[in-house]
Amino acid sequence: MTTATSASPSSSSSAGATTGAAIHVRGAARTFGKGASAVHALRGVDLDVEPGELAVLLGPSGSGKTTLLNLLGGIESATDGRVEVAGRDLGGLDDEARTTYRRDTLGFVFQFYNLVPTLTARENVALILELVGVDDPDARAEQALRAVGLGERLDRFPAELSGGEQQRVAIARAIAKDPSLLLCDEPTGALDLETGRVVLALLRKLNRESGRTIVIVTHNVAIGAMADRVVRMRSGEIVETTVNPSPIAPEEVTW
Amino acid sequence: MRLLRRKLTRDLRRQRAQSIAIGLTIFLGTMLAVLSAGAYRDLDASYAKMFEVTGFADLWITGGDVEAIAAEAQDTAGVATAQARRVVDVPFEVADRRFMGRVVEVVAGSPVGQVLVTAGQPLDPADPDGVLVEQHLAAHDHLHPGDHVAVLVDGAWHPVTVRGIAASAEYIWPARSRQDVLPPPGSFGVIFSGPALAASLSPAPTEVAVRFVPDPSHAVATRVRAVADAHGAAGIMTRDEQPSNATLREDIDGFKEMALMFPGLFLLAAALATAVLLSRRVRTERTVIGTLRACGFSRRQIIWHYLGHGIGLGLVGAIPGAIVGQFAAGAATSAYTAAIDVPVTVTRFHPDFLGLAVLFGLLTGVVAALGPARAAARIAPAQAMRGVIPETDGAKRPLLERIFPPLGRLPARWRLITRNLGRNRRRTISTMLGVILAATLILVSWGMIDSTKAMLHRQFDVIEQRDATLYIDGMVGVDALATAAAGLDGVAAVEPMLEQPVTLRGPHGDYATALTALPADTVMHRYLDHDRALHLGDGVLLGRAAAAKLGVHSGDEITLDLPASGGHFTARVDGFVDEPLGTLAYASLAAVRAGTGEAPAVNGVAVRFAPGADRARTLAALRTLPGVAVVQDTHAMIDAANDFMGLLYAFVGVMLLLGSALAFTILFVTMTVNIAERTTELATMRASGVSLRRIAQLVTSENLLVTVLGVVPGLIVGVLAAQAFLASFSSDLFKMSLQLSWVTLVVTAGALVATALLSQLPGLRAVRKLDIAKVVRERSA
Ligand SMILES: Nc1ncnc2c1ncn2[C@@H]1O[C@H](COP(=O)(O)OP(=O)(O)OP(=O)(O)O)[C@@H](O)[C@H]1O
Ligand SMILES: [Mg+2]
Repeated sequence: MTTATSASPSSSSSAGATTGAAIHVRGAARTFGKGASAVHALRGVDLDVEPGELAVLLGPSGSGKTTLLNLLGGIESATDGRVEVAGRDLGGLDDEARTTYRRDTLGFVFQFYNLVPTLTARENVALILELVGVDDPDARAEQALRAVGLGERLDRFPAELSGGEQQRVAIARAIAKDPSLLLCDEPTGALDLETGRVVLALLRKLNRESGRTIVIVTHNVAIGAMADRVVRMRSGEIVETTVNPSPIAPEEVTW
Repeated sequence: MRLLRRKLTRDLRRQRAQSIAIGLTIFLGTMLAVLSAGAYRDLDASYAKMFEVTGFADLWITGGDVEAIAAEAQDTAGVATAQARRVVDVPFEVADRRFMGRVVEVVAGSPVGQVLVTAGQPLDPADPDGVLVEQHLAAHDHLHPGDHVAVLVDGAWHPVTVRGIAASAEYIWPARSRQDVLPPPGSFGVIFSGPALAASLSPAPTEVAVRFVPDPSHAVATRVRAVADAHGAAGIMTRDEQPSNATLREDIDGFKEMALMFPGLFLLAAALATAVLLSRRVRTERTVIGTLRACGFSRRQIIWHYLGHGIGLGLVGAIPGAIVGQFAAGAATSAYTAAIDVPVTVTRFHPDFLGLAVLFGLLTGVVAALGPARAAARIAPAQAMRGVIPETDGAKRPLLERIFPPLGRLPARWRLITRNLGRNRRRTISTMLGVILAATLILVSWGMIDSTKAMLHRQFDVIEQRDATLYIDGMVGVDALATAAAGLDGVAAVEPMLEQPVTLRGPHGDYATALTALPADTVMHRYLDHDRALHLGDGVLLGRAAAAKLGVHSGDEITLDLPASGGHFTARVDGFVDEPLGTLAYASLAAVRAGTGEAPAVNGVAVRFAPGADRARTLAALRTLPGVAVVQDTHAMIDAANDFMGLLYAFVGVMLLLGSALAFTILFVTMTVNIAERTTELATMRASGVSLRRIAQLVTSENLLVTVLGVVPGLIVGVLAAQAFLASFSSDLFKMSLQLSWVTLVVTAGALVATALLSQLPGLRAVRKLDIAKVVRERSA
């Protein structure tokens, strides 16, 4: 991803491909509802992720992983505390500023790929690039798809791709605009072990080669072994953070 | 099952706005159906009652040996009464205004041709100069019992006293003749008299009014016709041809057409919207349906569950629609009879129409739900386990792009838009159909306005060139009157004119109309065969509709009977004129003289004003000329027509509203469903940092594209439907060819696009409120 043209929002952002975003969360809380029926999804969370790190959020279902990821992505706001990504305090941003933040800084990968069925792989990636105003979307889409190893599948429709391939298209869509932070919610949740490993290897490669910060949410403990940082959550709290000096290769992950 | 039923009501409530829109459309459709069908039947019954009460004849025979016809017809099997009577057109003077009126003799005690006295006293043989004034004339001139009016008898004004005000079945619609069904207010009027006044105008009876026994066979009319022909009758008029009845029939037939057209359009629209809504629900509930099936629910239960939605929507709309329609029918009938002064109003309860409307409303829901319900029943229990099913129908290049490759090189967002058209083809087609239906409704009604305008322009600006017609009182010669008129300020030209009833006899039949004779080089009238100018020669020119009625072609000979003078002659048909109002016969005065062998009894003077003349002053001056009985102002006809246009505008206004409502329902449902179905897609875009404005643009372009795709065929179908609709209205009295200005087409297209933009607003609001976090969590949970 080195050919970003000057006019693109991603290249105008200070967080380029070589500098991953830093994450600093302090006392973040998120409560749904009020009074007796209030659900405390997050109860004062502190989290730091260094630029260029690959972090994995682990925890049982309902422990608040997605909520935390959504706070980082600016699609949900904290009811208390401070969330800072790439030097920006997300709490102070209005809806438009959040949109700009997501456009310039973020890539999202979901458990389900959410591809447009009527568009080919290339078109799915190009669509988002076009809509956020990146120059030459077709060429950049092709580049992103080659980067995820789908150079041969550019003009296939989603229904003509395997689940893993669809997830790689979704990843290509997320990285095509060259974000400094990639947020992945259960990226391997719908995939078998073999395909899951391919996707994990791809994420690791994208992290290593361009220094992007990547946060992966999963309830799959095994994936933690490939992370630089493992964050364990339970009942809306972070119960343990481990920095892993020698993560294993994704190909060795097993479950 | 109880739980399923609870789900059903909850579902209907969840898509409340869409359900209400569909229910309202069904309501409108059934309401308008019962309203128009009920009003048609009520009015029909009201007229029948009026006919019964006053002894409306079945047949009128004019000319020939009237006494002999009456006597012989009376003895014909199937004839209840054959009444000879006098009907004489004669100048009236009412409130200082003179016009050509009509005296109708009411024969005391006869079961035919009686009147309903609505104020004052009935006729009394002891009061020979006491008359009844027909209610329209009385209303126009505020006449009351005891007032006086004058009738021209033998060239002198003879005063008569108003004994009472009366209504007659023959003049419910106060038309002078079939050729003149819209006389300007105050230019025509009827007085009912006893034998004394009538006899002073015409010593002998002029016509026979024949009433058949109840439920007569066809043979009766044939036998009576034979009697009439044997005694040289000039004209036979049936109820269908009777001017008032014919006009009112056309009018109430409009109700009959509406009774079919409205429910047709509205229920179709409702069915489309229901089908779209339910297909979407079935698709989103795939896993639920699969689970239910896995839990042991039968296919039949699933089918009934979704049919229940359709039945619910159908009944919720149709039952109140039918009930309100029943009340509205009564109200419409009363308003109508009050507006045109029908003295008898019959309103009834129409259980059959109510039942039919509810049945059709129900059927609409059932038919619309059938497809989605069957699709739901086909879902296998295994699908519950599979979760989200990848759509496969979009997985190929659309036909359009294969045919037209440059489309494939459009930016991806444009490709997204064009391909979404094919993604849910049924919905795209539904949307287009909705737009087409609405365009049809709008263009048909608007076509009426444009065409009526064009018709009036052709009749009064292009064809008719005279500004006024002077009818003579017989005291001063026509030449002297013409000379005097020509000398007036503001008069540019005068011509002697003959206007007379005529019966045309051709090989296929007879046609009773009026003959207008003018000098061969007249400047008072233009004779146009389409746009080609014809000239008066030694033959006759006929209105186009006469060609088929008589079975004649250009160059054929026909016979003209002139019942007023008793003369008849044969003439060659020189051509056919296309005139929107009436089907008349035209000849030069010289041709009439050559045909009858005597100088025609010229009875009028046609007058054309100088450009810029003061119309009111010139008309007033003409009225004071000696020898003038009546001055007829051509512009009064235009004014009367313009009054009628006011009604038409109101009608079209309502149609525009209904058309827009119809378009709104379909567009609203399809567009909200379209947006709802793509929530994840749109949420994914939002998560990727695509701005709301961009998404709104995307959605709007897509909706606009479908709308425009519907607008183009919609305009075409609308124009064709408007053509057919006008054709169904056309008769020998009234001919309209469709005229739609391009402004109308542009405005219609604009209105539909505006409706589309409006109907997507709720969807866009939903996009704005889209909770990305929630959508994302649902998918990754
Ligand atoms: N909109 C909401 N309203 C109320 N409670 C909510 C809402 N969204 C999430 N929650 C609650 O917040 C808690 C955390 O949810 P979250 O989605 O973050 O969990 P998670 O760790 O991602 O679980 P999973 O592994 O199942 O995805 C849960 O108890 C959930 O029920
Ligand atoms: Mg989650």
